[in-house]
Amino acid sequence: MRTIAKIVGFFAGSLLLVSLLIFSIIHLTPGDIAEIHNLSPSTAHQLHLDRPLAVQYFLWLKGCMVLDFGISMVNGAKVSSQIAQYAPPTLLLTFGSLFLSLLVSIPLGVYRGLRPVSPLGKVISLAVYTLSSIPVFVLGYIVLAIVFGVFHFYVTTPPDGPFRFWPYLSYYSLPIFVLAVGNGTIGEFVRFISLEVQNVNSAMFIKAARARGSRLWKHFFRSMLLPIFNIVVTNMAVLLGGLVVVERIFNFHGLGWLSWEATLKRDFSVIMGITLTMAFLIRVFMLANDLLAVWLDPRMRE
Amino acid sequence: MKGTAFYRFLKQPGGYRIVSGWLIVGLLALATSTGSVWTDYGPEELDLDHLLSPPSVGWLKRLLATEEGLRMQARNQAGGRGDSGTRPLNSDDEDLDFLQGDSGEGAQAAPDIGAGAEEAAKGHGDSGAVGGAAGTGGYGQDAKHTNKPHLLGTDKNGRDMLALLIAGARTCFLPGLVTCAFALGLGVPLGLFAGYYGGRVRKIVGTFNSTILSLPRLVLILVVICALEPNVYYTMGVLGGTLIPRVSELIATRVRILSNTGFILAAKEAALSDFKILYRHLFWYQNRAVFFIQFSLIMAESILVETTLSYLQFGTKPPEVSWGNIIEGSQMSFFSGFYWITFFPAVAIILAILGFFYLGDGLNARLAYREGR
Repeated sequence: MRTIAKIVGFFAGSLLLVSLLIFSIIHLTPGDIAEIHNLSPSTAHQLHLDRPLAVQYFLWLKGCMVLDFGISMVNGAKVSSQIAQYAPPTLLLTFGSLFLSLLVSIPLGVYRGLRPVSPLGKVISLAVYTLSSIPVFVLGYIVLAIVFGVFHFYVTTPPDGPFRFWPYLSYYSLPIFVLAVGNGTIGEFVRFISLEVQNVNSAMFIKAARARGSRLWKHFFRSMLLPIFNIVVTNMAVLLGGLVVVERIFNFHGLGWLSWEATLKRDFSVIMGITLTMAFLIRVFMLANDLLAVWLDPRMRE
Repeated sequence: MKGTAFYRFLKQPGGYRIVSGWLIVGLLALATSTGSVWTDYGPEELDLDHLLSPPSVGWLKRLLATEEGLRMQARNQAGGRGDSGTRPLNSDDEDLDFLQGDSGEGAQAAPDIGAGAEEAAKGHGDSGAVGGAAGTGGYGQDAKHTNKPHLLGTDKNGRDMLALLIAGARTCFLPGLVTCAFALGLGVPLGLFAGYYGGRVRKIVGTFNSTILSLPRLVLILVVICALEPNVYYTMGVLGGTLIPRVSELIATRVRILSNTGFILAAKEAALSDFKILYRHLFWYQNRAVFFIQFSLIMAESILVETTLSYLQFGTKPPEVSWGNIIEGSQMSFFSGFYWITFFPAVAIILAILGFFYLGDGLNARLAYREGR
């Protein structure tokens, strides 16, 4: 119990630190916010810009607790409703590409881990290194050039209405592919998984299992579950960062696109809201990782 | 070949990666330092007679110039400038011209006759040499170059692609050094302290690291850009800040293992100061290889982020050239079939990142091999 309380406390504390960091980057840098946006005194009052900084921070934090990130400084819309509008396609994109990269990298990583010096293993590692060093936007252009060359068009309008397979697939497949392959995610996954497989393969319990003649994949599966979840969690941040670029290339209206737009217009409340949301998402994953570790591994319980 | 020291070097783990990495990094360094020696055109010269002309290298042109692109280019030039309709475009019949130009370009010793006279009067800014070529009056500095081929073609403003690429190599080097200075200058001491002292220091560094790690790197940079004016050096500093966790955790793990070994205990017994133990024994004798490996990997990372930010319009601003903003500016041309403007910067970005990445990774493999032995 004490371990779990500690983990949850760490989760809350680090979110608090993150919010402090974001707030101080925005508010402690030179330049008066009300002046930049030419806000009238009444609007500035509504945004609490005339209060002391500490009071502003606590008011902002209080709002964030109930999912109220304030109002946009450019068009006065509610930030939380904007985020709620743009989040679902982004989540679909993120988890789709996570799924795709796991689907590709687990077999490759396991093969490379079991046979690291075979010719195919070497080819896999070379291809993975090369692929993972292609920037997202360059890969996006390559994919677009190929799709353009073959089909002479690609789908730019988001599908709306009820879920149907083909419209969703044609709209989401390219961004998902580019985010999964071009962001360095697959390279990282393959490298990590193959190292982990090598470690497990030379561990004593696998030798013992081999000597007993019992099924090996069961042992592999149990000991690989935690590391794979671990690498997924540590790559969440990279994945969410790549969103900004992918959504810009494909003109995909999601959180990344919204944050790009907000930066272009210097819309402080929107960018603060989005950043805190993303940090929350990443932190929730880290929390789940820690809890899973405690659950699966009795040694962690002390 | 077999039996030479180089062959043995190549055959040890990571050898091929190190050598190919050094080749690419060396090429980049050469392009950065010598710059405009390799082109007939400067990066800011506008060759208005050859807007959007395809690469004059034959196979590249066949690879990249689509038919509709060529047609649109011909239409552009016929419509845009009345007198250039009769002028041969930088097309098929100039392939032969390119061969001559290439031999001159490689050696800088035998430029063809027409260009030789111009070479002498080569001052990029002056418009005194306008009278030389007929039919291009009014376009100043560009007139004297009209019969030199554009090896990699031109963009929509008539700028030479090769010159742009070389100028772009410059803009990705210096910001990379800023990133390295931040990431290594702060990450290495933090890692040393956390690993050597342990306890509370380690906890503080760990908290700092986990705070930074829970924010996406690019989004954190966007927050800073939003708060300050977009400036490459600020953003590269922030990128360095986001790389601190990686460096410091790496160093801290190594130092924690080392600090119980005999030679550190001996150094403590000999009453060496903590500063000396940390910086000489733990860092320089034991971890400098890690330092240089991380330097190379961080350079790759910073080229990636710099080009990405320039692509998102938050990095290098258009009058200055970056590979990222060439791609950003070529968006319209890309969708009308002028692939070469996007293609060459893309190849340059991939090669530059691969070079630093291979170098760092190969050195890492070599280090692991030597330490394991």
